[in-house]
Amino acid sequence: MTSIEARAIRPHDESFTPERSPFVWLVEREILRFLNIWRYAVLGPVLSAVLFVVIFGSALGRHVDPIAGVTYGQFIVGGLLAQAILSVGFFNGTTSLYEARHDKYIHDVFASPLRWW
Amino acid sequence: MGNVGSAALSIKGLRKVYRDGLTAVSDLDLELADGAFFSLLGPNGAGKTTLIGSVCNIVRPTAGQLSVFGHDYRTRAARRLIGLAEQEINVDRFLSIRQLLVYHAGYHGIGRKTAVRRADELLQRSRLDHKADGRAYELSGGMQRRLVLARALIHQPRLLILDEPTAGVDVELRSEIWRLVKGLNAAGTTILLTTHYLQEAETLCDEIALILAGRIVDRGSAASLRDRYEARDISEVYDRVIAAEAAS
Repeated sequence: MTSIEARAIRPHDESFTPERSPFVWLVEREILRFLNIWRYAVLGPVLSAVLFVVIFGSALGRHVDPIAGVTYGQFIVGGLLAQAILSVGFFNGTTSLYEARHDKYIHDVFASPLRWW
Repeated sequence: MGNVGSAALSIKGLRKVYRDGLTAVSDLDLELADGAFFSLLGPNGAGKTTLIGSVCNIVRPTAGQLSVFGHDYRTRAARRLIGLAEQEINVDRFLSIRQLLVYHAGYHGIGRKTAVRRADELLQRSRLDHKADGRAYELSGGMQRRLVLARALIHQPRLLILDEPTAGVDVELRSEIWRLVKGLNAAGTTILLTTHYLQEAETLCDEIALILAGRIVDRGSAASLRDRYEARDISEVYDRVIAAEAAS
């Protein structure tokens, strides 16, 4: 690293006026993280949902009569889909925060002028 | 708004007691003039990192008043003026090296074009441009240290806090870091440095404070400390202060 050439020093009496909201940057970072790991984050829950549908749908479905015209298979697919979405959302939110705390790069966010409002 | 002529950093009565009852910092007062090059010296556990964490909103102080260029340390106006290079290599493993700098700039409200331009400039200066699309964990220890420094500088802070920036780096990189921080200070950036290398503090800094058990036990220029303790160098001053405190 060469020494930094002389530059105008930043004034200290200006209020904070972002060119782009720091919170939007953080949201973008979270999306980028998710896109980097989507295979692990999405594939597991999708596979487990498919297995549930196949196993429960074929094994239990035969023994359960339709209720108001809705078969057991139709009933469980919606539930499992909702469960998969919830678990992917929960898993991603918590692991992102956990990793940031564990590796201490959350300090970047704590020290910055970032606010959600 | 900060007051004209305000101290770069003003700390009054800072106290931090952790949940387990450990008092890391005890009623500490400290003031750094704008443009100062200030060093905090003390053994491990003396409270240096807690002090820095408190200034940077990483640690919540139990008591005390802190201001940065006249702004309360919690305000956005204060946070935008501080750059922090921590002792540990704490980088986001999901981002590439260029993205690390760009997103850090983003957390400080900088627009994308400016963030990318500054990131590329800093990567070039730090000789990391050929690694820009790689990940931080693929870099050597020295390169990681340069990356953490570049990240602290991307939003052009007016107060730069360096927590043991030369710990575990080779002689060549240490000299590079010295040149860099001296250049920044000459350009007007206030520097707060913590180090275990006493010679580093003596060579670089206008003023040195000795911190022990969460209290500043003495402070002054290297020359005035040497005179006061009738010591040949800061290392001797340090030994005498530690011995005196241990005896009391």
